Amino acid sequence: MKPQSKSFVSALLVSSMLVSTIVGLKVRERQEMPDTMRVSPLMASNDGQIDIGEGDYYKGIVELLKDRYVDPVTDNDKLLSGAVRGLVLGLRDVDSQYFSPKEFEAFKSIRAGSYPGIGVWLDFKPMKTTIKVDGASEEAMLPKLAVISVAPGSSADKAGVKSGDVLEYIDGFWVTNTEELVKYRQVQNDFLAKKVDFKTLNELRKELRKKLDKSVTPFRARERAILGTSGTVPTTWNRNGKRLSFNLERKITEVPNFKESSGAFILGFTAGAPAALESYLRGKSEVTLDLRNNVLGDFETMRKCLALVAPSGKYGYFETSKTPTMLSVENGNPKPPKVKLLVDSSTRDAAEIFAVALSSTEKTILSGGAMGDKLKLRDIGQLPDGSGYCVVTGLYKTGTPKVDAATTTTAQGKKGSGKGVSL
Amino acid sequence: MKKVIATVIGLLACFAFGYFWKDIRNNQFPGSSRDYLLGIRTSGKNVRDDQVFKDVYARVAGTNIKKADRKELKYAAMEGLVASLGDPHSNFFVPKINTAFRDETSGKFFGIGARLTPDNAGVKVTQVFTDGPAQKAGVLAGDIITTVDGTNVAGMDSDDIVLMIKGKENTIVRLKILRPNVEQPIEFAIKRQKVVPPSVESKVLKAQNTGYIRILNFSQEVPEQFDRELETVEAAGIKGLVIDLRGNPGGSLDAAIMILSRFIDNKLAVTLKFREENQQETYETSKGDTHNFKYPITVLVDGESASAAEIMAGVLKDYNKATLIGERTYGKFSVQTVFNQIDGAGIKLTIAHYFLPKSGAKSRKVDEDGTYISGGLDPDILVKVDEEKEYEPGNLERDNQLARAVEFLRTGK
Repeated sequence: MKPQSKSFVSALLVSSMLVSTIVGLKVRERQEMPDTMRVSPLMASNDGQIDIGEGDYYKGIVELLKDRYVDPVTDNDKLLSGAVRGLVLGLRDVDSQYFSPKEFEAFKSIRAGSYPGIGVWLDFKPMKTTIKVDGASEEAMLPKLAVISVAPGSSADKAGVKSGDVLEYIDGFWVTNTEELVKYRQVQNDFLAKKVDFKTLNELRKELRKKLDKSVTPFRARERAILGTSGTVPTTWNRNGKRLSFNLERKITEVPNFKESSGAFILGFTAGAPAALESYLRGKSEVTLDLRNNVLGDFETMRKCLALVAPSGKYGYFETSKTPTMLSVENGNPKPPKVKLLVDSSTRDAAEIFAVALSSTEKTILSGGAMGDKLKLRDIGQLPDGSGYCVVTGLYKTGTPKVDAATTTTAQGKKGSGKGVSL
Repeated sequence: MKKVIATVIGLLACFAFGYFWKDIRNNQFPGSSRDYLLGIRTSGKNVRDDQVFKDVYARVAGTNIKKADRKELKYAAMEGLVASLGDPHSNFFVPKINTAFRDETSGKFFGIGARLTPDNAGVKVTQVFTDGPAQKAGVLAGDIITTVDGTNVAGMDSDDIVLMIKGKENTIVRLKILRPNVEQPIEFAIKRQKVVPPSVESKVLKAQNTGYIRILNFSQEVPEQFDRELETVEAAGIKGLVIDLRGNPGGSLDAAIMILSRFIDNKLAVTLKFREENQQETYETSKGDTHNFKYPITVLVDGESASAAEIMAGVLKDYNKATLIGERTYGKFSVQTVFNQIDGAGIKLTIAHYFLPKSGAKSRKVDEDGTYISGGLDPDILVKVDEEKEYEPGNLERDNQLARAVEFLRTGK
């Protein structure tokens, strides 16, 4: 080879190495971009506005705060958590949430089957509410802080707190209530228009003031319910318009994750569940699995358990912001047992997906009440300061993903969507 | 042949290096899309915070099923970032809001010169400013504005109606007005102009021999108006004075210092301290401008007394010139600047705190939900509004805080 062509080849080699590295970077970047952004890169900034990348934007503002804010800013982790909190709130989705460090600690503990505080998991539940505006009633769905699951044996359980109860008052604080503020503004307008007298307005104002002086946001109220291991807290709940008050003890309540109890196997999707289920199934052709109080189960664990009671195959899919992801079982059980599942409204997330997926096989029956209707896949992340977040990344659907009109009809015709959700 | 295979493998390795660069940089095991299905993910150790943010942002913005707008999410994150300071006066403004904010503070909006309150039929005029456009056109207190530029405004939010009435200088706004005891609606065409609302009001409580001066805000004209009203009440031979700073949101600090110069001769009023230890500014009252007050003075404050109003109240308290009565003040002892970003967004940031001569710093602190933690100036005598009565500031019968102030002036207790 001539020296000239030798240097040409090595130059070619170096440049193709560079090119393939860049291609690798770009492929990754494209893959992590949502579909909507991928349409045309040329169209991305056609609104005439300058768009700065989020990383640089974040860095720029952090530098500004450190340089110019009146007090020294030193806690980088706190700034980061603030930004993530804003980001998650920006989704405006009741099922996507940010948790403070303490709250996240409790969240992880409850996922593992150990309930601190009064022994419940509370979450935001859209509830039908009637608001009176100018004499006419309007119905709206407002998210309220409601009980999702009650740990058996906890003080809340013993007092009779039930799933669906709305928390109104805890530990000396009222939970902020939008309806009451709306109602007060209406009466205030009526007063200015001389439709109601001062006494009516004042009665309402006094009641509202009493609550506002001692009120906390729903997030802080939840902290008071799910944290702590000692002492007693006064609470007030609303069950279908009826007020119930209890003094509840704060302590650690351990909920069994996988053990047999009165003929049913309590199955929680925490570490160790697949092995425990496997040994329980040995030699049985018929089993009852208890999926109640299973609200924050781990998805991977659930999938491993599914493989023990279902043959290999596809069990629906997840609708995501990108292409659908199949829920498939590999190395499944070729001779699955007959399964009876005990479910109710405290069967949610991974457990509910498990129940719906499994009930598409003929060997499974569901027993109990309607489930939580939360067929959602979540991405859970922890931040350096110990706070965390969970974001909905997928919606579980039975059947096969919709590709075109023809497949859609067959998929729905054959399997139906949401089978087993409402019983 | 071997060479070709080596080249292909080499290129593939380069491709893989590029693809996993993000994870390598973040100290993470090379990931796959399946990771999103696994349990809790924690970011690697020793990763810079802005890298963690970028990573979380990519995951949240890229995988959320609501497909929220990426730009909106970015701005939501920045709002959270600035809110994490725990300072209610430091805020992030998205470009749209920031532009509106700039227009508002640079005084591009002009009005008709009237004070308005909500009413079911529209908005009610409660006061018409002297020499303002509305007064010149013949609008009276008690009139109800029902139509603005042809739009029926009944049932609309009063803030929105006010925005419709305001506009550029010297443009015309057409109003339809209902007047008590007049059957037909009256039509007005009013030219929008710069409005100077009267900021100081006074009266003499004759039976108690007490002067009452209310300062509504601190615009540039206030010191002059204050002197004039002071002269008026003193002419009645008063034995005590109540200065009402309730609901006063502040304004020009210079105006407040000028009024303080009537009480305190050539002394330190406030110190403005910036980020850097040695960087500070001091404000002193002027020399030889004091007024001879021959009677005791009380100052009324409440939770809406803020900024210059709190500073005036605090300085009077620190120099024992007046007794503060009412409720804890708001707690805005700080100065903000808006830093504009090139995309039009803005960051309003607190860059300095005011320190009172004796009381020190009293800035309000809140948690990330905006709930009060600390701050504000406490009155010498705490008096909450009597909730049993219909409240009307300045009316002795319906204003228990004023009644308490008058009692204090009479008894010294």
